Amino acid sequence: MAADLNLEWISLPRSWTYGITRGGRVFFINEEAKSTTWLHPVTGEAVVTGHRRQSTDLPTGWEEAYTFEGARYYINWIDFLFILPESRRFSGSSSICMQACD
Amino acid sequence: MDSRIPYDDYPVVFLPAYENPPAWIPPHERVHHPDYNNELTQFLPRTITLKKPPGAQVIPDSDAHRAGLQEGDQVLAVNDVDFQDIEHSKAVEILKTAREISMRVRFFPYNYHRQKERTVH
Repeated sequence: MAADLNLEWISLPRSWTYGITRGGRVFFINEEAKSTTWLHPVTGEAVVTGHRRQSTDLPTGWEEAYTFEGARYYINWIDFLFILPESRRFSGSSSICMQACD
Repeated sequence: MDSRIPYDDYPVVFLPAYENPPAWIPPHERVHHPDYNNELTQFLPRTITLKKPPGAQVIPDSDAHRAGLQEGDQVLAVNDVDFQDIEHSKAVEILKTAREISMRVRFFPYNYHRQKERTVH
């Protein structure tokens, strides 16, 4: 999430547009496929998600975040996964308690 | 054989629920939808300048309010110093010692509400 919100991401391929949630998060709309995604169709990155800005050593589409307790984890926006540093994979739709790291 | 702590001894954390983006809806339904009809400009960064009244330690809320600061604003930078990852004590020092404060802020209710959730016990 760039501090200055440069708006390059506004340029989108045909049949794509963007929306902004009430909280200010940007998402992308594929009008043809009738789907939505956090990921920009060209760069593959999420824009203005509210999570920690992407560190350079993370693959495209991933972001770093912290739980309420301060444990670090990674979000894979592409596959909808939350991943803890030990590489344990958990379904993104659950909020079951998991082990921490560090 | 790795020397990591056995999983049973790790402290427990709760991962937040994954949040999907708003579901696709046809354009004619978007007009009054709270997640679809937002104007980008209200969420763009903006600069607010505040001056401490002579002899004062703090800037009054009314000044900040008059200058355009609102609930939900996120501070991106102060006097050209990045405030997004700054250490708390350093942030305080900058705010305390500066006579004039040029703040780069951005209205971002999503983060604001998440922070609010975190501080509720």
